[in-house]
Amino acid sequence: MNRVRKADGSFRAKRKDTKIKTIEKKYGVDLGVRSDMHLGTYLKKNGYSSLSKMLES
Amino acid sequence: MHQDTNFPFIQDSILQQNLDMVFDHILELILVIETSNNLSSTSISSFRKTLIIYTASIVEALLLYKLKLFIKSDILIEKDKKNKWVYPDVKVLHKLPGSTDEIIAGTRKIKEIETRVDKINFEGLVTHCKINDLITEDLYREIKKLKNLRNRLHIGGLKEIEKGYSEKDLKLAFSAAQRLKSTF
Repeated sequence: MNRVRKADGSFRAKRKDTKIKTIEKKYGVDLGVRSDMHLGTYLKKNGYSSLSKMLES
Repeated sequence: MHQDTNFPFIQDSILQQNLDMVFDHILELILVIETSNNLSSTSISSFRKTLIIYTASIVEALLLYKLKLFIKSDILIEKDKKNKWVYPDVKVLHKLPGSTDEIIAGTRKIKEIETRVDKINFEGLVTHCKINDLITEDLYREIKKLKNLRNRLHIGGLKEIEKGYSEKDLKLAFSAAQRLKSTF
């Protein structure tokens, strides 16, 4: 899995509002949910509420 | 500091990016677990162990950062736990004849130990943060449980075959990390 690096070489962290479709496309997976769902919502729905909160800066 | 980070309170850009990369990998591993229909229960347990180890590394790094901020130094000075005395300032009052013994007067104090903060292990970090009221008793207990789970990476010291890592173990790890992050 290639990490997303910005032009200056620094790493781009995933965000709470990252769309599921972006992740599915990047990793070639099917998370079985609506593509416009946000990562934070997905994590909360799947029992990872603490991780969802950690995505809040 | 770059804008896209889940640890904006970390002023050290190297640490910040390392934390983001570890957290990102945790999210990737979650996706692996959630999207694979072919993983055995043993495999899932192993992935959970990996997640716990990575999460513990975030917790350990945040504890270290918190402690450094508190003591405003990279060196921790504390009293020797064995209460070893040192005699910084003594005067010899009388040398006993026929012996190397001496009668002395002066001050003695408990030896102070200097330790580089980044050399303190996980146990030490969580203890020092608790002693200095940087974390609550409840969070301290949760992090200690995470530490015990994490320490099972040292399989050479295990006295029994590895038990599986449950969803509950995983959620405890994530809860500890999230709660610690929220203290910043």
